[in-house]
Amino acid sequence: MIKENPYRKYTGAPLREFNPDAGLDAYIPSDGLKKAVEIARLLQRPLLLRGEPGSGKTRLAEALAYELYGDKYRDYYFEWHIKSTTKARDGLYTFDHLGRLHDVQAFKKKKITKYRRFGPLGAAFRKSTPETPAIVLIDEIDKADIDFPNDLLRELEQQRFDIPETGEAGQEKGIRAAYPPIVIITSNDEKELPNAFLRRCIFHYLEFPGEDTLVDIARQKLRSLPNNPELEEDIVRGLVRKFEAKHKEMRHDPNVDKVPSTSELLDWLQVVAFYAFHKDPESQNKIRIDEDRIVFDDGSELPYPGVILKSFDDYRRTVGEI
Amino acid sequence: MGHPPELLFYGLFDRLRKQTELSLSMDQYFLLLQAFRNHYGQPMITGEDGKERPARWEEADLRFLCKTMWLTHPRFETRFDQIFDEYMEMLRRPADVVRYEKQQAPPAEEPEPGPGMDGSPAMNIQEGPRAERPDQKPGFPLDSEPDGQKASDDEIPQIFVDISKREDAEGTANGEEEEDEEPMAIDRHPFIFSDKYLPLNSRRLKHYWQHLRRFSDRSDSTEIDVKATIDTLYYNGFIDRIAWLPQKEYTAHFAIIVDNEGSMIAHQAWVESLVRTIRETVGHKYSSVHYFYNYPGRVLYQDPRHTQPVDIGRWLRKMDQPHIFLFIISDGGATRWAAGNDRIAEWGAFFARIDRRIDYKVWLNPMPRARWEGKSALYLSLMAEMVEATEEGLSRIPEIIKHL
Repeated sequence: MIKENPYRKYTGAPLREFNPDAGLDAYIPSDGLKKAVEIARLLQRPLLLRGEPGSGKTRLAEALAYELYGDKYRDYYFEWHIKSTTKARDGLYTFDHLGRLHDVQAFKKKKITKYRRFGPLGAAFRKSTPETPAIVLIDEIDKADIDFPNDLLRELEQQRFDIPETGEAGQEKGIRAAYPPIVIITSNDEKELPNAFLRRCIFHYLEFPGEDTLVDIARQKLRSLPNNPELEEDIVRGLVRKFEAKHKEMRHDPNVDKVPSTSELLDWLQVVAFYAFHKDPESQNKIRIDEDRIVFDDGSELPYPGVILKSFDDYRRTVGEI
Repeated sequence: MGHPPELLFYGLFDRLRKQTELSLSMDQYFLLLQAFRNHYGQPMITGEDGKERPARWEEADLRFLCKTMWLTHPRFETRFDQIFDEYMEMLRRPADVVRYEKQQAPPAEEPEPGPGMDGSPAMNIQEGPRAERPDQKPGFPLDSEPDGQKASDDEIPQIFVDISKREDAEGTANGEEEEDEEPMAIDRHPFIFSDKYLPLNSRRLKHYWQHLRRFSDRSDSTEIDVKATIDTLYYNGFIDRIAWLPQKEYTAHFAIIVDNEGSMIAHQAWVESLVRTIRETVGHKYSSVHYFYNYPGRVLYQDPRHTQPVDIGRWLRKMDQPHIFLFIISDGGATRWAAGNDRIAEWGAFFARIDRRIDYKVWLNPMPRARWEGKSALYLSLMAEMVEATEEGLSRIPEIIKHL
């Protein structure tokens, strides 16, 4: 087995803080996630990430690419966002049949390879080398048809694919990866994935982050906002605790439609911070700590609930409780 | 004895395969060996020379590594942890390993299996002598570091285990108290209604039921049907219109409700297996499972223990597909000695409440048709299409639904 050369360990350090130059928000991976990334890279298997929506599955690939390649990461990072109509071949290549037909009728002569376009996985195969392994994100694989993962098995295992339209097929002429790209797959568990596919993957389940990590994420998010509101540490922690309590309560309620995730927390913090520093005294809603409890000027327990609660029933139930 | 050392942790792998629903292949076992060999997932320590070296394996690291390789879905995690704990406990009690091995070992006349393919947890046997090292500290060093040697790439390092908890094992090793010891949970005979009790295997069931995925054409197609477009060119000599591929989307929700108390307890294992197969076939997004006891009443339960009630109205509202198929699994009182009026009335009220929203209902009754006579089940079979839990019955359900 060829190895990455040189092998650079994934530490999560470069994006531990918001990076304004690259325009990338902070990404704080857990130790377990870092270890799972290592194992997947060393064994050259796709890493299948599961977890609640908003738990940071999708951002891992970008964060990893940034750590490996810095500002040039876009050259080695490929995203494939799956839709219900996506077919496995779309990720490898597409062939412009109509364009070719049109050109033939117009007597335009072009090399047949001009009509093929590589998809994210195909492009990653071509780009990946032991020195510079490419990173591919296959996002929300469970959105596709039930046969989709199985259609990718051969390509992921053999690291090569054929383009029959151009004659680039077979062991010699087929498109082959010089080194297997690092494949990160995310799933929201909307559909069961086939066993044949699962057995080729490495798995990790992203848990909802603990308080300290949430505070860390929240602080970094606030730093990344344009007006950069300087909320005090204990206020951020108080807000996070309030959100966490709501999250816990909703998570254990079977009648809840949508449990809020980290992304809802970040949106909520943004709104809270916006109104805390609002220039208009009428709109201002300052926050302070009173005996370890967070208190809003407007007297509400959970202001701006519409940012956190995404279904009418959840909203009505919570607002009714306040 | 004499098993090849490559069978490291095979006992755990074997148990996970046999005692959970994880579908693990040998390839995944070899993956673990590969990880062990290369120290992947192993904690590292920095030596005096500033270089990183593999440290002693801790149980948590081993658990993490095995989960990363084999735990394909978090819903199996509790069972996984339980088996892992049992296995680790067994590693600390070599005598149990020997007994387990004796029970699992193939008969003497059978040919010796090839290296790496042996079904017994042979690796554990080799742990015995290592475990008795008096100077050994707790932990799971899978490499040969304690002997001052480093494992080569071609050699799978051996395991040795914590001896701090093996007082009872010492007794057994000396031939004492072997008869009196409590047998381990894994040695007990499995309950007769296992998931292998289905009248047909899940693969065939999936084959029968794949038609349950119902599609409809969507008007907002965005994909060109190249073949059809070129066909028009052949016929007309020019392209007069672009043909679009019909878009498909799911239109049906498969609502499964399961009676899982009282007389239905005996059927729990295979019903669970059946429900899983159905959901895998139609997709988790397009199916749901709820539970009840005898009849649904005003609520159904989201969990088999009946702790999370959901109102019938809410249950119906949550299914946002245009069509809903209701699939009931219950004996409908067929195990009782006479018809129960309450049961029939309650089911009637339930159907009246949901009939406007449900497109079709099918009832799977685990009791044979002969047992329905004179019981509530017979009356209930007039309210919903009721089939027996036989191969014929199970394969008929898609046919019934298809001909809506």
